[in-house]
Amino acid sequence: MTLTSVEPFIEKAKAEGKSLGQIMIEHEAEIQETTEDEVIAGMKKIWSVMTNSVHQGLKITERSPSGMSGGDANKLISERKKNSLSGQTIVKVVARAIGVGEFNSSMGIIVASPTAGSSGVVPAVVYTAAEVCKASEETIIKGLFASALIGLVCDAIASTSGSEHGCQAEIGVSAAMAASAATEIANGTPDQVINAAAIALKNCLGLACDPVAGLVEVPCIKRNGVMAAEAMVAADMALAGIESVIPFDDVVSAMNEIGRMMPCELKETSEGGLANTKTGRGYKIWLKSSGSRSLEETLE
Amino acid sequence: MPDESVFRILGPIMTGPSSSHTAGAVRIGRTARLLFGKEPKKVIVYFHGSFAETWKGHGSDKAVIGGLLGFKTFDERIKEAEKYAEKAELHVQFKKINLGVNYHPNSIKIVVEDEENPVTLIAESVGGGDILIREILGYKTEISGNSVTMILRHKDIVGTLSKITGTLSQFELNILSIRSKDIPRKNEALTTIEIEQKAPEKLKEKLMEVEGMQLVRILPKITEGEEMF
Repeated sequence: MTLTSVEPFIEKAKAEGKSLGQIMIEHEAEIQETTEDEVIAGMKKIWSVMTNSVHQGLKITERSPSGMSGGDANKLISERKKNSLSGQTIVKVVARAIGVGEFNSSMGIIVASPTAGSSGVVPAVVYTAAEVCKASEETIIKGLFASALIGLVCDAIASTSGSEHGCQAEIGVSAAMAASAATEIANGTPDQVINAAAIALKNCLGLACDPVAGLVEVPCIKRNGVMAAEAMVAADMALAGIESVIPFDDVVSAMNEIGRMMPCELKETSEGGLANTKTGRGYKIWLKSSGSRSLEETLE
Repeated sequence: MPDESVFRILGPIMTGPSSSHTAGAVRIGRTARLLFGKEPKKVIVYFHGSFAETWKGHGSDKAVIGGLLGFKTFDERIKEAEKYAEKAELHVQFKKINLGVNYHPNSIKIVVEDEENPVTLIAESVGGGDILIREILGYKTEISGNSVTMILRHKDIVGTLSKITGTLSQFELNILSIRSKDIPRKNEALTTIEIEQKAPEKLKEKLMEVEGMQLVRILPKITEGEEMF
């Protein structure tokens, strides 16, 4: 089986009555010419780093060196855990994803999933889905393996790099991966797992990569938070039996086409979008001046 | 093409915030250390293009220092690399440079100063933590570090290459690529060879015995020590 389509994996899972995560464990063991236990041990290592990044992120109260981020995860969880408008689960998943983003910005150790800039979504969603479903570590690991199928197919058909296809290829892919993992953890069928990914990815198509001052902070960190919420909602939709009219493989082809059409100003060059606003340019000049000018001065 | 591993998409485990500006910079620094072959003490790092613009915010300076100290991409000490540099008596100076349009926007030039064997290299961070060594000691190269790579500087004598490949076949090593560049004025050449297997212990010694050989460095795979299982 090649990783240019999810279809053979769905068929195999259905035929053998297994979950997509289990099929991916077997696939990985086969291509690495090793045992299932070995590849599961590798994923446990990934999960332990992810778990640590979730815990550490929520503790951050300091601003980053650029002054553009830091402390927002802590603020959200402390201020809005009770009586929130969007519900406790959503507040928690968003805070966790923002926290991992902030931990990444402060040179913490994270797992690129699929990239460092989008590294908050998968850990936060898997952590929260597992908490809600009271899932075992074994189930969590299967969820992560299912999410990797989504990411690998996106990478094979399109790309997972913001400089090639914009932010849709980074945060969009991470949201699709996270939605599939949450669905697998909630015991969804292989079809539901893939539908969750398709629903999540469709809502990120065309997203620009326009980081202010070229740093992985604005809009990246808060976007991790909001996309984690989106992934949870996409999983619920799929688990309810809602199907994506456009199948997942086609959504990825669309992402590839849109990515090719996008101008390079919106592909990580920081020459367009938010980076090119008055405030965005002001931050860039201020950071370049290494403190010789005040931020207020450059923003005028 | 063989199927990609799940750990390519869920990974690498790395120090944030950027795979290209942080993880890649660690690997470039570590490559400079390996080429130097001993503990570097005095180093000048030149940031080109995007690195020159964003190195502070991405911690690329700490990342290169970490690499020069031999750290891997996921080493928690990278965050406080300056502290460990002081302990190791490593002095690093950072400068901006414009290498011109022929170089990738994410390029770093490193000069390791030394009386006997100074090292200069120019490397690109091409994304996802992957790197490409474009120049070593002024010679053009194309080293990704995805395989074990030998860097050989030798006198430009007829038959040297066949002696080198002969030595490799004695060890039953399979050559993936070989590239040789000479500087006629200096009567010297730099040969880079990628091999499929790990380098046997005695290989370096044997290669040094080849007539006219001046320098032998064997770089392990760039991801060595970062394996998932």
